[in-house]
Amino acid sequence: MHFLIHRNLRASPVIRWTLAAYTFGLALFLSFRPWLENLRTGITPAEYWRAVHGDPKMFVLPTSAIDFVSRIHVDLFIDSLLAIVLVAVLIRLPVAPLFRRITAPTLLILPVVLTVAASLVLQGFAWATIVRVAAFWLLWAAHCLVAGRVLIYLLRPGQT
Amino acid sequence: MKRARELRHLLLFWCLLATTQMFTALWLFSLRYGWTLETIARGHFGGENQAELGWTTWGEIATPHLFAIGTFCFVLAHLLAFVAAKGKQSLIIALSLVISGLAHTLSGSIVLQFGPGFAWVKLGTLIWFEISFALAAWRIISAPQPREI
Repeated sequence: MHFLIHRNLRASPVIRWTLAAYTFGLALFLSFRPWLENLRTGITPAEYWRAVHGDPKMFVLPTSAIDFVSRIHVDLFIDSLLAIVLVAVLIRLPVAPLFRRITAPTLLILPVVLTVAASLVLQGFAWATIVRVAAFWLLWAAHCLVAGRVLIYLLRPGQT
Repeated sequence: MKRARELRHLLLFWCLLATTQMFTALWLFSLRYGWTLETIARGHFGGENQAELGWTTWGEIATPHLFAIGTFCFVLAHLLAFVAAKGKQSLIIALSLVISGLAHTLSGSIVLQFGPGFAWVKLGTLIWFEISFALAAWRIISAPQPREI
C-alpha cells in the first residue's frame, strides 16, 4: 500500500508502472464483468428477476437464498476492495475537483445501493430489479471512468 | 479544511460499505447456521433435512475467507492508522480485529474436530469479530480529523 500514500504517483517509475499494470488488469476485469453478469443473471431487470425467482415456463429454477446471499456477499467484497483502491488513487490524482467529488462517493455508495436492491429483489419486490440493474451499470461506468482516467494520467509521456 | 471534510465523508461512506458487507455476512450466517448452539452444531454435523458441512466444504469456505478477512482487516487497520490520534487503542482494536477474524475463520474446524459441544466457539468468535469491527468503524468515523500520512 506504500504507493498509495505517495502524493505524486508518477514520481517513481516503479510506482508508476506497477500501478499502470494493475490498472490495466483492472480494465480487463471490467471488460469481462458485463459478460459474466449476462451469464449469471442477465443484463435486464426482467432477466434478473427470472434468474432470482425462476420461471417455470422457461424451465429456469429459482436461486436458493444461500447461493444468492453468498453471491451478493462476494460481489460486495470485490466492490469494496475496488472502491478503496480506486478512491485512494483518485484522491492523489490531479483531476478536476468536481470529477473527484462525483466519482469517489459514487464508487463507495453504489455497491451499498446495489446490495440493498438485490436483497429487496430476493424478498419479492419487483421494482427493486430496476434499481439493482441500474446501480450495476452505473457502478460499472464509474469504475471504467476512474480506471480510464488513472491510466491516462499514468501513461502520459514525461517523468512527473 | 475542505479536503479534510471530503476525506471524512469518504471514510464515512467506506464504513457504510463495510457495514453492509458485515450485514450480508450475518445474513449468510443466519441462513447457513441459525443463531442457537443447536442449529450451529446441526449446520456442521447435519440433521433433519440438512447435510453435514464436512471438511471439504469447510476448506472451500475457509480458504477464500482467510484471504478476504485478512484483506478486509488490513484495509480497516490502515484506515485506523490514517485517522487515529491515540496509537495504542487503535493497535489493540486492529489486533483484535485480525485475531478474531482468523479465529472465526478457523472456528469451523474446531467444531468439526472436537464435536457439537464446541459450537459456542463459532458463535463467540463471530460476536468478537463483529464487536471489533464496530469499534474500528466507530473510531474511524468519530475521529476529529483525518490526517495525511
